[in-house]
Amino acid sequence: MAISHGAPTVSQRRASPRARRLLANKDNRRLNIRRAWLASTLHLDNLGSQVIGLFAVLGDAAYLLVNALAPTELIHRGHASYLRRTLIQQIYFTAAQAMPLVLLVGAALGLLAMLPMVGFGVTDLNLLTAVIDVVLIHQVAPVLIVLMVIGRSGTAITAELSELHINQAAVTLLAMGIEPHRLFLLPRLIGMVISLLLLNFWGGVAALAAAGLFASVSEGLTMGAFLSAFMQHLQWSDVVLTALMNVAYGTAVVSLQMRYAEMVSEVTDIPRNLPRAFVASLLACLLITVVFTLARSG
Amino acid sequence: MNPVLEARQLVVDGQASSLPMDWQLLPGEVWRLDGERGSGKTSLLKTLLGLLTPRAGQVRIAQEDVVGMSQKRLLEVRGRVGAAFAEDGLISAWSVQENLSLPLVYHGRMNLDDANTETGNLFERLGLPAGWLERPAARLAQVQRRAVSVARALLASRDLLLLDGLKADTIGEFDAGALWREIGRLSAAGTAVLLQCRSHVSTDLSDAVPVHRALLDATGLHVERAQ
Repeated sequence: MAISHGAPTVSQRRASPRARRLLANKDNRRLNIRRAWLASTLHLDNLGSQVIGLFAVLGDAAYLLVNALAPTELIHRGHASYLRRTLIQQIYFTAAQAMPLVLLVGAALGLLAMLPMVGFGVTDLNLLTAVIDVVLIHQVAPVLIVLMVIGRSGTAITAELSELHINQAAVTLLAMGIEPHRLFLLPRLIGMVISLLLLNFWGGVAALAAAGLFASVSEGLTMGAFLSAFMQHLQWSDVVLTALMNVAYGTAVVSLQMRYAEMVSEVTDIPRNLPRAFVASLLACLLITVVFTLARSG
Repeated sequence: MNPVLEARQLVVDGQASSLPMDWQLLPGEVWRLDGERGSGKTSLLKTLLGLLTPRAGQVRIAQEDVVGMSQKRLLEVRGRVGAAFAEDGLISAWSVQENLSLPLVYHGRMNLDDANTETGNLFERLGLPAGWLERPAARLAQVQRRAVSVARALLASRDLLLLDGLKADTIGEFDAGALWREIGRLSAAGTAVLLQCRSHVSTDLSDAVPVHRALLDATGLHVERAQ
């Protein structure tokens, strides 16, 4: 239906002023309905584009991953030296340099988990250690640690690789028979996974030590009793699932950050793509956490 | 003599001309690709290396069709190519020495020490300051980075050297005539050389070795072999 925006229609000119106002209001209502409908379709279009875009990014990230991992027979001695060097750099930057921060965050998390529980009068050692085990060690700590890692190392990967993409380093290397994904993505992927496993171990130990210390000070429990109660809850299947979750985190973070680096075509794209890569990586990690939590709870 | 690189009825995307082109680069030949801005010279070069898929026709490197080549084989073949494009293509966080030695060490041609010696020797022959070698590439000016990029391509090339967008200011970074001497040396050793530059840039080279010309324009690729 056509909607008038300008001169009054014949029926509007013949009508009384009140009727004209009513008609105008009716038209306005129609116009508003029409606008709302258009807006909703625009939102739907936009939502559809975003969903397609998300799958495109995930698909591209998966392609990069397969490209980096699949032809492993091409890792010859010359390539291995670069692989080793970048791997050590990645682990040093992501794990070793972040160790003090992760220990601090882990200890803070241990205390923050214990404080409200003891405040609410929970003194059952089994319950305390079960919450520390399930919620803190296997869910909250890994998410917070991966969040730090995305912020520190993930964005660094995107910034560095964006620059390589802008100055055509990737194309030039490919022209000389050097596969850039295997040179840059593979060691970072392995390094990120190893770093996340190390950081989670250190963070978990710090959280456990802080929680045990708090329990011993506030409840008079010995650290040994706290640890033995914790160990009763700790199951190997949970440890394996948490380790696998960290492998999934590392894979998702590196491939998504690299994908966003490849979307950069000029320098001004870098500041726009860094936060996008950060958000995409964070969302992917939250999704992974949900999936693994569901798997853990059967 | 088998051609190093061959285009058969090739049609490249993004070119002014959509006429199929035939072209052969034999070992030791030096070619200069010419054409107006936007005529698709870089697209042609990238297609010849299998970096872009042709719209039609064939590109053959080392007697094999690039389109049908496995990824592994393509990388092996490209491992004997030295290339520098209009952008410098250096890894900014790495030192100049690391950038230069990468193709040599990566392809297992030599260990790192030998590669470093080789890069030092090349720098001396080209008249580039040895002080650059230890500096991160990011600390060099753009024209210096371009010169390093050309030096890396010279080091990496075995069967084919491809220099895209070679400019007078880049050549000005080398000792007078040093780049042409190096290209002449490679040509004598059987490396096919493909330069994309203006004629005035390569005048000195034409005095040293026969330079064939390929002109790309709206009517297609015109090949003129030097006598």
